[in-house]
Amino acid sequence: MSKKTLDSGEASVDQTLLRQWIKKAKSGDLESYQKIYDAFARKVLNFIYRMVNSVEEAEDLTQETFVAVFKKLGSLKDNDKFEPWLFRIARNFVYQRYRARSPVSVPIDALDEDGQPATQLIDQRKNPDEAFEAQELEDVVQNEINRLPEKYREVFVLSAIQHLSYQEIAEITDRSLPSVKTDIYRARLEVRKHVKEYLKSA
Amino acid sequence: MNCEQCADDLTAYLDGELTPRRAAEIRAHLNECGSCASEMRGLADSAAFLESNTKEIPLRPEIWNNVKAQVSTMVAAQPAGFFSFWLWRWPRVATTVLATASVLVLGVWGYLNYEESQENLRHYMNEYVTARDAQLQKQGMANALASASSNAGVGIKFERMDNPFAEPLTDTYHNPFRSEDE
Repeated sequence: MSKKTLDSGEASVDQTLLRQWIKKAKSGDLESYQKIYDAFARKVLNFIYRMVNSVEEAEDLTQETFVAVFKKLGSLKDNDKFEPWLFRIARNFVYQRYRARSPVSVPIDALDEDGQPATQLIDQRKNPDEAFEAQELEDVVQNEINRLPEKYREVFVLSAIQHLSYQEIAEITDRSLPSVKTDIYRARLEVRKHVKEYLKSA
Repeated sequence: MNCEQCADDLTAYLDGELTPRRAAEIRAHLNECGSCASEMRGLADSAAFLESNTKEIPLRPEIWNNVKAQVSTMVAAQPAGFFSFWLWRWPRVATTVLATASVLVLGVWGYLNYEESQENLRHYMNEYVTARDAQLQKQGMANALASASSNAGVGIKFERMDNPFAEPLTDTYHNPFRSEDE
């Protein structure tokens, strides 16, 4: 089974064109930089949104990311590694923002006083039918992503939502390939456990 | 392959991240093992659910407008002139080049100075040796003359030069063929 590309209105970028744009943008050509922005901004915006769960913050951080990328473009040694490099910068901004406020995620094995799984942001398990009526499935997906611990969330989003390769994810997160592979597997299992009741075939 | 080994690679298989050989092994196991096949279906179903229900937020034009405003300022502030442009655009590269150039210049200067000092040293050594040779030669001639004159009865006294170990020459000559009494 092969990776599917999420239809975000952007086809994958032609690498030859991208290299040309980057080369020109390095010299200060704004028109070329806008082409780079158009190719990647939506992906970056939605990645950040999955991580911070706020449209306003996601837009703000996307803006900061692309300003920083323009400033640091001269330091990019290998133009073919632009996408993981771009996501790495975006990720750094996300974590800087995270450090500035209290965490919203709950550890995957956290227990409350009664030894039950700690209360989640939104409890959907008591009455999934009502949850289904009350919330759109998209919110369900976002909530499941929010439930994941930070280190699982980022690899899950980059893999399952952004459809980046494991190698690219390892470069972005500065982790080993086996570590990334294991965490993606655990995150997928966890999400699957909670969306099971929403699946047509459980 | 056992179920535990298969389970570790199920997600990677789903994502197309396995080598063809490994993917074939997983496929073969899934064909034989109902439990793993069921697990695989569950993962595939939840992946499909995520794909079809993932909400994407739209990219508003205002974001690019704000980015453009900020980067335009940076471009406008970009200095003219070859060297200052390099220093502004690639400060790390420029710093590295400058540091390397400085080290090279210092190294060459130091080497040249060393060579010059060595040359000077050789010159002084040569002068010293030449002077010393001349001195020794003079002394040697003086000794020879003094020796010859003492044998011939001339009795010329020559001053010994800086040799604290040499016995002073006597003023009287010594003629071994004449007795002292004559």
